[in-house]
Amino acid sequence: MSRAAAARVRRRRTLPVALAMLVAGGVVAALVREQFVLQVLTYVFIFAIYAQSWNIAAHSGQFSLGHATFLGLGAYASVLLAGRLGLPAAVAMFVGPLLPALAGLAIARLCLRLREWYFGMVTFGFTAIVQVLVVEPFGGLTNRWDGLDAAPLWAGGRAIETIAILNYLTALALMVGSYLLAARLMNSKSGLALAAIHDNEVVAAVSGVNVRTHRLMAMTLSGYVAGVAGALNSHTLTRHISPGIFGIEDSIWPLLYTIAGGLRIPEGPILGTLVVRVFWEWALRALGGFESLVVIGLALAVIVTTFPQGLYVLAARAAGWAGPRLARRAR
Amino acid sequence: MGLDAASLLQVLVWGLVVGSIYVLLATGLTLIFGVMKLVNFAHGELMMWGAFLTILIAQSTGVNPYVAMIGSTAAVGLLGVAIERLGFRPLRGTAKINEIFLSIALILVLQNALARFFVPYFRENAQIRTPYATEYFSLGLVNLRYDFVILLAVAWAITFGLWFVLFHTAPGRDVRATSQNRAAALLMGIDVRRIDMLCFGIGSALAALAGSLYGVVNPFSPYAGTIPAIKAFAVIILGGLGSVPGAVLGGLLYGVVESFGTFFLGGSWRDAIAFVLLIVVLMVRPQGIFREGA
Repeated sequence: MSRAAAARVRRRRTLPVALAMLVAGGVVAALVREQFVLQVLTYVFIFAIYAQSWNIAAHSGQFSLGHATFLGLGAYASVLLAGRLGLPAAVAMFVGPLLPALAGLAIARLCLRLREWYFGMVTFGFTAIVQVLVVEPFGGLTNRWDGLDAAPLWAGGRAIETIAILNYLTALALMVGSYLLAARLMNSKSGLALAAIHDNEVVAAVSGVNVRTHRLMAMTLSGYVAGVAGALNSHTLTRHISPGIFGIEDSIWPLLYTIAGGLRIPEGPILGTLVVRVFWEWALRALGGFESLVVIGLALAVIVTTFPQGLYVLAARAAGWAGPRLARRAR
Repeated sequence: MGLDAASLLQVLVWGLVVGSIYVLLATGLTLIFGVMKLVNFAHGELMMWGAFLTILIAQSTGVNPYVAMIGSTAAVGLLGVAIERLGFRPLRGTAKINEIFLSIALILVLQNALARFFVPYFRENAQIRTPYATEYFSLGLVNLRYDFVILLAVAWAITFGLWFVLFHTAPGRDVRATSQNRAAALLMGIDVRRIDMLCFGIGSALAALAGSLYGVVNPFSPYAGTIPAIKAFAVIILGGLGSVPGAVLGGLLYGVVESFGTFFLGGSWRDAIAFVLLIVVLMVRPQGIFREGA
């Protein structure tokens, strides 16, 4: 990328977008009183953080098929820190994810020579292995398949409605935070290095990019952010954690949401999680049963075959701004 | 649990049976990967459609389930052709990860469409009942179920048949050429899109056959295909993507290692063992046992 192009990328304004998201989220919180809607949106924010973490790793060409490893380890570490050591959940939520960060570093180190499918399959394999480790050798700590109850993030005699709003606002704030983190990273010099590694590792190395350091950095950061999402989820929405979190489903979500929204674009995971999840909940209620899931699958298939670059690029094109440049970046 | 020769032999036989099912699944996946460079994660759902259609045909017409498999295999093969035409072909040339996305969407569609018909009839689980379910060969140390023998014979006859077609016939040569170098194959006048369709169809048909055989030895549900398909994917990575010998060797190795691993370490470890093996092999040989496209 030429210096001018790099400067143009860097000049993209992320703060106004972040502010707009905060304001929009705040307005919704002020207007909507339906618990169910707030809960779905809280889920959207938390899983947008999770999808963003996957997006960060994907930006360096490390397409993980086992991100549930980090989601689950973050949740377990945080729940254990809060439950066994008595740390406040608000603190444990940020200390616990150091464990998945470390796991991200270790897995990235082991997978340095692997790319594409090989990388994806090994990351998937680690999810199955970590699940067994959590259940068997550490079963005494983790209560095996029954799992553990998680301390609430907001407690202390508040009304259920207040807690729901507080959970919603916390998730919103952290999602915007993860957005700023991802946007800053992707628009920075390191972000360009990661993009170069994604495009062609050999060319990147020849151009002076330290491939090893950048790959390790991206996966460590990704592991941490995914861990925060997992911890947040268990301290707010699920209030419980079990080894089921290391299943296939939780590794699929970030991939689904990010690609639907826009791969390797900081706004992509957020838009994708919102649109896919809201449609999903609507279909489940409007159609019900197996038919609704068939319809959802067909809709996803139509999205990807018609707009392979994701909904964000589509929206950007429709809005008529920045279309061609984003399209080029997303390719 | 005794460590006598008889139980070890039983474990080995079970490993070979499971391994042969992996071989069929993995050969289909690797055939598709070879020419199209994509992995259809919904392979396991095609597998379960195969098993379900086999029961459906066998029950409605009263034919032997092993004969019914011919019909279900052909039907799922045609379904595979449709999926390739309508789904994967439009994605050619876009980001690789989009193909994973599409196959996840296909999992949702195929799994729930199957459950829609399956659950009212069978509730949770079904199994294919063959006329030989209670008959055994006695081989001294172990009793060998008739079904195991038939399963092994069918699986290996198909595998060798496929090998013969690939390496000793003109269409097989076209498939190998496309797998080795798509552009060059196109320049030599091979209709690579037809090869894509053909391989996707055959791969899907192999999945259906694997599913039907799986349904003979295991109870199954619409959701039972996901894990075997992912393991088959691990098998072709272990063997080297696109390599048919790699898929055969990898599949057998997986079945046997998994069977012994579960026997010695316990059931919780069953799924993890396969991946430990994969990771160890890839640390030593990042390209799998055989090189890509062999």
